[in-house]
Amino acid sequence: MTGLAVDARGLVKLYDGVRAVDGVDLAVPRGSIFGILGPNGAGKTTTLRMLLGIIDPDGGERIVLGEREPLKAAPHVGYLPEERGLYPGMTAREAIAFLGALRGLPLAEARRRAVRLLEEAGLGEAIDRPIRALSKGMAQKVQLLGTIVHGPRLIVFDEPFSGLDALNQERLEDLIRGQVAGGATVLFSTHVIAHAERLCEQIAIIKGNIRFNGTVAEARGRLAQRVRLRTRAAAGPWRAALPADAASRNGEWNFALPPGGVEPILKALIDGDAGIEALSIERPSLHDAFIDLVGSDDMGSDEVPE
Amino acid sequence: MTRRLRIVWTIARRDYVAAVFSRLFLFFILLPLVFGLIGGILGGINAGTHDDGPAPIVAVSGDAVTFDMLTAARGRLAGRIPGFDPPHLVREPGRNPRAAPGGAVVAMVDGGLDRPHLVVSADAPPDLAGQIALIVEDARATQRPGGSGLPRIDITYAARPASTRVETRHEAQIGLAKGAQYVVLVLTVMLAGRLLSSFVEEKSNKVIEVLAAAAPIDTIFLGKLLGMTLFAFTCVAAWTALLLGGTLAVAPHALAHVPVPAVGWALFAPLVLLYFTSSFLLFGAIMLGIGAQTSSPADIQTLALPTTLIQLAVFGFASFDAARPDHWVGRAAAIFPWSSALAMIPRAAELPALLPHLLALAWQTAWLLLSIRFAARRFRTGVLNTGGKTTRASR
Repeated sequence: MTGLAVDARGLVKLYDGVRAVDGVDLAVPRGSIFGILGPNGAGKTTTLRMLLGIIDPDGGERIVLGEREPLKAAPHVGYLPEERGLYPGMTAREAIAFLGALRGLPLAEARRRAVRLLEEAGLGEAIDRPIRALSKGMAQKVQLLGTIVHGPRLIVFDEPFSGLDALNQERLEDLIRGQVAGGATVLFSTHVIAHAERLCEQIAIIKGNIRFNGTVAEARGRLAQRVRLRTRAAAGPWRAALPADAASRNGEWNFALPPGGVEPILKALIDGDAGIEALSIERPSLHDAFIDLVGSDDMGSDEVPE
Repeated sequence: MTRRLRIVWTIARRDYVAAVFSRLFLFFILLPLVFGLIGGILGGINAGTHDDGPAPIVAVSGDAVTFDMLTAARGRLAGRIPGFDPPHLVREPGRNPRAAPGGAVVAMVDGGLDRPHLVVSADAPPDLAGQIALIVEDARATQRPGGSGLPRIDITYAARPASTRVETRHEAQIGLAKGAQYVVLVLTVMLAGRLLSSFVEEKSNKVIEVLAAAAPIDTIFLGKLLGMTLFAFTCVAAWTALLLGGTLAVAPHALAHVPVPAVGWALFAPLVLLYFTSSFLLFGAIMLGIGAQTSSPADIQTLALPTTLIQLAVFGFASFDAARPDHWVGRAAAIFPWSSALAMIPRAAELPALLPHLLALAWQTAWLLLSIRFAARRFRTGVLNTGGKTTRASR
């Protein structure tokens, strides 16, 4: 048994001859929270479906919890698809128990756990109510509980935060941390970078192929720190001290921190009587790294960080 | 393997419970009552039609005077008794009085009015002898008012020839076979339709994605087919209980007239159940394959008619020569996998051999496994293997 919960190499998926996923490598350490980031249509869901065995790749190989055929590992995997699906006529308890039984849990035990999970999640009054009678948010919670009812070693979430309000997003983050603290590995896809930045130890940024694979800090470290400068004087001899990439917008200068640091520029600004109103050195965010890697054209309206 | 079986059972149980606790179940249970009601109405209309039909013909052997007296008595009684529809009388003086009636003639009166003797064929209406006796008594009363003191009419019921009994039994077995075929067809069409619509519903509410991540598609299909089969068994059990209960309550003697199939009821009933299962599973697998290609209830409605027509065509093929299962059409229908189950039912009703049934069931099982494989493959390649929200333009 390796230290990897998921080990995928060179995954390829073709749709009508187009490479939707083109040589994706993923190494998800056991007990970690791993985020797959990418714009809409980047191949995140397709990659997850290949890892789960829902579809077969056209190239490459994947090992999930030590199994080359992912469905063999299914009893130890939990999966929350992006498009949630439950039987509307089932009660909340039966829906969770059914999902647990599908993963190999004895039905009676699955029912017991379903009741406990629902009560812990504050849904005690919904235990015997049919799914169709629950609000969308409650139904989402029920499906989430069904994903973890069997105590999976690997939990795969596809866009788990979509459709949740801020409070429930925070609760879900807590749940993910709790599952990992209990020994599970969490692999999730998202196009909302803030969640990945808060939760993940490791991320992969994907757009057909892997654009980046590493820690959040490493992603940020790819970009130089930025300097923001605002002066009272619009022009003067001090401008010659600014780096060549310095650009002004709305009276504010923005440029990469030079290798020699900010001190020589600061001296020129003071000597040139620029009238410094504000000067800051900013560490790039994961969002900046993401934009740099996939290009801002691919960012839809949803991608604005929270 | 054990895990797969558990998943099959989990899915089957879910589908079974959902079907039994749906309105569909009530509809299915009431279906025989609806059919019975329609049958009763049609039977009543049919009976009414028979009432208006030609009366049976009775031959009168002997002199013309006796014939005239009997004809006059017939006319008097018809005018006197409302609803009395006496038989037609024809004079056949040369007819052999010992010969059994045949053709259009269902009875014969011989011996004049003094020693009347009536020979009634087995095909005659049950009240015919009584009607003739009444006519004879009326004729005698006219001849000798105040009482004749003559012996009562002597009645002989002609026995049906042995060959005719065999023929009748065979006809009853054909009727039994056709009835069983019809029930199996109706069940198969309705349940296959239900399977198809529930599968499309599952696709539209995205449950299928969760199922597909937990188990191989052919395992899911098996579970769904098993669930519907168990539902069908429940319906059949309920129908049988209703039918038997109703028959025992209303006409307990009717059970004695139920024809015995060639293989005997002890084998015929399980064989029909097995053939129903096989027929449903084979059609169901195809339905799942078709359902895999559709994406909405509207698509299902579009496909519903042609699939039902195909099923009816297969039924027509299988029942084309139900009276002669060894005819080449019957053999071809028994070999074609989707008509095989339906075509084998007449064999069970009409022929005693068991080996063909074992071979047929093995053959159908092999095709069932192939069909499930094929449907699962179509599902994987046609539905799951799509890009979903992936936009290729972005690459």
